[in-house]
Amino acid sequence: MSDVAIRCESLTRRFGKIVAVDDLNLEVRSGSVFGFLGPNGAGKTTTIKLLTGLLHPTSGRAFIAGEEIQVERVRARRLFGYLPEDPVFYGWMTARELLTYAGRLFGIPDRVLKPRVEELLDLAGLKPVANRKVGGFSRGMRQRLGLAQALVNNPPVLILDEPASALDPLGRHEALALIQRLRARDGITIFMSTHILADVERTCDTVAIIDRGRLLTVADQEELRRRYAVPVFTAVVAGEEADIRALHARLQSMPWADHVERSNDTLRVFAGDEEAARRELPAVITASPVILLRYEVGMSSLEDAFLRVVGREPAKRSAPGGV
Amino acid sequence: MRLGTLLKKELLESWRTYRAVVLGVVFVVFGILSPAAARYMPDIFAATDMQQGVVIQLPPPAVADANVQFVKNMSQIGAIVVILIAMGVVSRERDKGTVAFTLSKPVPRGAFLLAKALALVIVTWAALALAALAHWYYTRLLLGPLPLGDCAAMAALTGVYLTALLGITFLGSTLTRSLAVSAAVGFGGYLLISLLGSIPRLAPYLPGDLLGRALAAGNGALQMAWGGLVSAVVIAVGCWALAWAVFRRVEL
Ligand SMILES: Nc1ncnc2c1ncn2[C@@H]1O[C@H](COP(=O)(O)OP(=O)(O)OP(=O)(O)O)[C@@H](O)[C@H]1O
Ligand SMILES: [Mg+2]
Repeated sequence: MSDVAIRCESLTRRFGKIVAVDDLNLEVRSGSVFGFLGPNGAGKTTTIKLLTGLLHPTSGRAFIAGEEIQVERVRARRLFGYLPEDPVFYGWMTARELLTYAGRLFGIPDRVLKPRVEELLDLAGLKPVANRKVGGFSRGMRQRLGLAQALVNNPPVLILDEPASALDPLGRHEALALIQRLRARDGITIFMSTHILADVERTCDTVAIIDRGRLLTVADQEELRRRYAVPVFTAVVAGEEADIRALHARLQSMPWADHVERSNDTLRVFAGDEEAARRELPAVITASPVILLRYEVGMSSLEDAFLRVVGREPAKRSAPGGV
Repeated sequence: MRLGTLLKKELLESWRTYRAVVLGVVFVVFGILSPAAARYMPDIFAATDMQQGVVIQLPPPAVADANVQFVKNMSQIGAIVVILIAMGVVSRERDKGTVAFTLSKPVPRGAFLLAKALALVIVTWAALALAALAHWYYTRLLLGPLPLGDCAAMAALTGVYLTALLGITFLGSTLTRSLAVSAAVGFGGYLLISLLGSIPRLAPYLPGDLLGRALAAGNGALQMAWGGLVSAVVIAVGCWALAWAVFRRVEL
């Protein structure tokens, strides 16, 4: 197979006036785990539907393993497994029947399919509910089943739209571990959209960030962090509200501070000039009436990098952790 | 082979979701009711007439009356049930999103639609066959001899008529994800065919013509004219082809 598992060439999709995907050019290397990152409404699901031939592009083209994707074409559909954002299945089938049906649609002979289905039920942790009607499944159970059915044909490319969004912590851990195992074992290419940065940090080697349909950056995860990471000084303080507020303002006025983020009694200083900050920051704090409880120097996280790339600085963020 | 998998799924689905069961039960009930009504209606009338002191002279019930009932029931109540069963066959899957599950796999859309249409035809004709058997059995029991061949021909011609309605409803179901629109197309088509059928010049070239011939067949006096049959087949196949032409490019 070629070196490039997924390629988009000037892929564009409009919905009336909205440009959901805007001139997207993208290449995903074979064997990589590719994180497709973006805030709500960025165009992730639209891109994935274009890649899976469920939507027509307004212009541009998409390829999977060298095969062009088109709504009417069936051939390329052998090459990928797909987990939709909100997977729905025939509610009257049991989990086992559904996986068997999915396998038969790929033309997998029963002799091969039977053990495969059992293996997938096991893999997705659905063995205990294998004979239950899918109609009664919770969203997380459906997502597990969705992952299992996406794997039924051993696809070279796996396309996952927010694979862990409905999973409980254990399920999420298992799903991500599964993704890592798959890559190690099969050399499969995984393209996953998400807005959970911790998941990206744990599994993806390459990250693309899109916002409002436009690709903002593509980079190795390490490189992205290096490129956008800045030193962060964290200070936990105690004192009068007015004093903390005054300290916050004073820090913000320092030439070496890019911006300062505050949540309750924690101040995070994103330093433009690390040397100067190291030298002067402790003095600024001790000069104020507040008491310093904890002081820490670290690097900003992938989440901070993400927020910077999409142009929403951490300081302007309303809810910490949210995107 | 892919078609076999799809067809099996459709048939299993219409069984598990009770659609096939409902269709079968309704058809068989009316298969039994047709001779029963022909046989007992006059008695019931007679009983009520005596109380009211009015005397109406009713001819003795005959096999022909039972056949009239059969064709009427199947082409009216049967038609409504068939439309109700068919209207969601594609649109419900589009609305729920299950269609993306099947069609993101290497399944040609034509095969997907063909399996659905075939399943509808199979279920409808199977129900009709059961209804005809019930009709035949109870007619002989209650009224008199009815050759099985005549009964089968009557049911088959009615079946072709219902298949045309299936085609129209199927097209409606494919056009949109709205169940209401699918229903409107199905019942609208039914109404249109019936209205046009009441125009004497057009009647011989519309599916409704089959109903009169079905009745004649049941009475052992079939004279075939092809207008009704051809129009029904053209409508059924044409609607399917149109559905496919539209569905081929539809986004999911
Ligand atoms: N069928 C549609 N009709 C009209 N607009 C649409 C349609 N599908 C998507 N959009 C618009 O396209 C844009 C991108 O939507 P998309 O679902 O791709 O975002 P997303 O990145 O997947 O978001 P989320 O993280 O919430 O899943 C949004 O502005 C959305 O409103
Ligand atoms: Mg989405």
